[in-house]
Amino acid sequence: MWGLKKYLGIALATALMAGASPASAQAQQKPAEEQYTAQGLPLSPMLRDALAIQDAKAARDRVRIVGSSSMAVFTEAVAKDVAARTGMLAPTIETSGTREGIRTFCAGIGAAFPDIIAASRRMTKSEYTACLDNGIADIIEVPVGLDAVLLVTEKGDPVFGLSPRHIYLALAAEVPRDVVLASNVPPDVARSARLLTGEDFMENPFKRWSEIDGKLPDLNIRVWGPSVASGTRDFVDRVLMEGGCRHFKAIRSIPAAAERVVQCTTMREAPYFNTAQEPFTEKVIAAVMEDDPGTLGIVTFDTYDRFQTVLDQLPMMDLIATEDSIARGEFPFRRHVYYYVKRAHMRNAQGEGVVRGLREFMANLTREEVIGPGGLLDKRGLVPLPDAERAAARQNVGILKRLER
Amino acid sequence: MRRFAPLPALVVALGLLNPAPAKAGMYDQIVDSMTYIWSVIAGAADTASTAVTPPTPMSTLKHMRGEDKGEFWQMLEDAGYDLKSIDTEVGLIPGVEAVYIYKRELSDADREALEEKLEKHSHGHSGLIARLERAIIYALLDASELGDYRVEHLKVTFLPLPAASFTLIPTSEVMEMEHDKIFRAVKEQHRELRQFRRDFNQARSQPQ
Repeated sequence: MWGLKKYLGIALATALMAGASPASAQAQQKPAEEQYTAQGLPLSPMLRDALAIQDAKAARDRVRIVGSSSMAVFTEAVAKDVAARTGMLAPTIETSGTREGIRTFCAGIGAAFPDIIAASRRMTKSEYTACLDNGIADIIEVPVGLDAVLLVTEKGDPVFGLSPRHIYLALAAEVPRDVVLASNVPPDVARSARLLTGEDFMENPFKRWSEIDGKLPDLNIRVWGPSVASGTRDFVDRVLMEGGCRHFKAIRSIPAAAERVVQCTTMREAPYFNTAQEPFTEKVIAAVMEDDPGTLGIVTFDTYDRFQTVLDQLPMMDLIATEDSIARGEFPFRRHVYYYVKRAHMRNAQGEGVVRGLREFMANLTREEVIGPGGLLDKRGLVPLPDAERAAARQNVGILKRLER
Repeated sequence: MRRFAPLPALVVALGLLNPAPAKAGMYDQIVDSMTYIWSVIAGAADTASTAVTPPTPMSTLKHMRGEDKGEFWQMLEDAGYDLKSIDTEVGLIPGVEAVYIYKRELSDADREALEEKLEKHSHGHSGLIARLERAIIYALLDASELGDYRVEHLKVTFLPLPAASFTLIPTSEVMEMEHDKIFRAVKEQHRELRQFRRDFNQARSQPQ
């Protein structure tokens, strides 16, 4: 018995000494590189600066979310819900766009850097590599639903079907010369195109939709869309512009992917393509309503869903985006939307870490009442993932599965 | 003589099986039967000939190029490969093979679009050949991510048995000094020529 008491006494004394020992204090004041090399990753100068800022400031009292403006409505709903359910302070939300959000998220670890990204597209390999380079190895990817990108016009204006090919030819800065020669451009434009012998591409001469395709209406080309900071713009570039240009002979003859991407995704300027800065959705809708008849806007499905009374959707490849066609995968211009959480910012059992509430946020986010059919996000226009994908998202959050690309 | 005995028996049997009109005369019946027998023999001969005669290069080419080319050929092009040659071989065991060469590096969007196409293809086509086709495209996609190597040539064999062979080469082959000099000189000439053409076209399009 005495032996047990003696053992407990020694253990308690050791623990108290360890807690107050100069060695422990020294460990807390260790330079950044010593604290983090245990992760096996070299610290970049940017990360060292970030950690210095973290040391100077206290850890944050609330979660900070950055990213997609088109997901702001979902993020706000989830933030409010998690605050109500857990009693924690509601997260702060910055809608700088997916691309910019990922850039700041991946810039470092510490209170100065965001904890979560709301991303309207998947993080690319190069973005993931940038995260790794800055010591952010543990990222948890949480897919939360399906969205779609579509073209809308003001209710009452002509509604006509489009394809990525039409969109590329209407909005690219340069288009294949042979396509111009075979199209319905005015004679003077055709003459100048003929003079450009030896050139594969020429400055986009299309002013009206009917010049691109005789079946399209004789309306001026006027399109409003998101800026390059937006994940929706990335989607437009990848799926509509690259998808529309991919099969042209002049494009196929460019062997380097980087050169081809620039050729396909460099947009014309106003009045043909007009960029709305972040947050872009309301600006695009306002422009569609106020500009000339026939002005089109690039928006997400949930935005269209909320403004259906004043907007008409243009069929894409003869298909209309509905909750069913998106869920079944029939509408081809759909996408997954995600939240990415920085595991290094989570507080551990000892209360160490940048912020409290990340685990609670993820657990709340993946509840059936949030991402399931009829759930919080479904009511706001986000199409629920299939059952198996929702279950997988919950499981990944449960085990804090690390993203690997 | 004995060895031809089965032939008249076959003629009689086929003649009896021929669904000739019941009210036709004996002569008409014989003529009809003979015509029917001939069509059967000719059909069989045609089938046999088809079995040893592969599709002509032109008919094969039709399925591999143009607007209405098959899905597999479209996917091969989407994977960055262009048709280089078609070899056909006539014989008891005919052979047809097509050689594709690497032409385009894939962008992230190209890869995503192709993966999506393959996913859709797997829902619509579950046969052995379709699986083999997908396996070929997936192999090309995987190879495109190797970094150090790429599939330079792809040989797709249809007959006698479907197969594919891949030739991998290092992506950064070291050029010999002489070749490197020529390559740089050609590149420089090309750049100058483009500039000259642009200037010329610009001058031509300006009003006098």
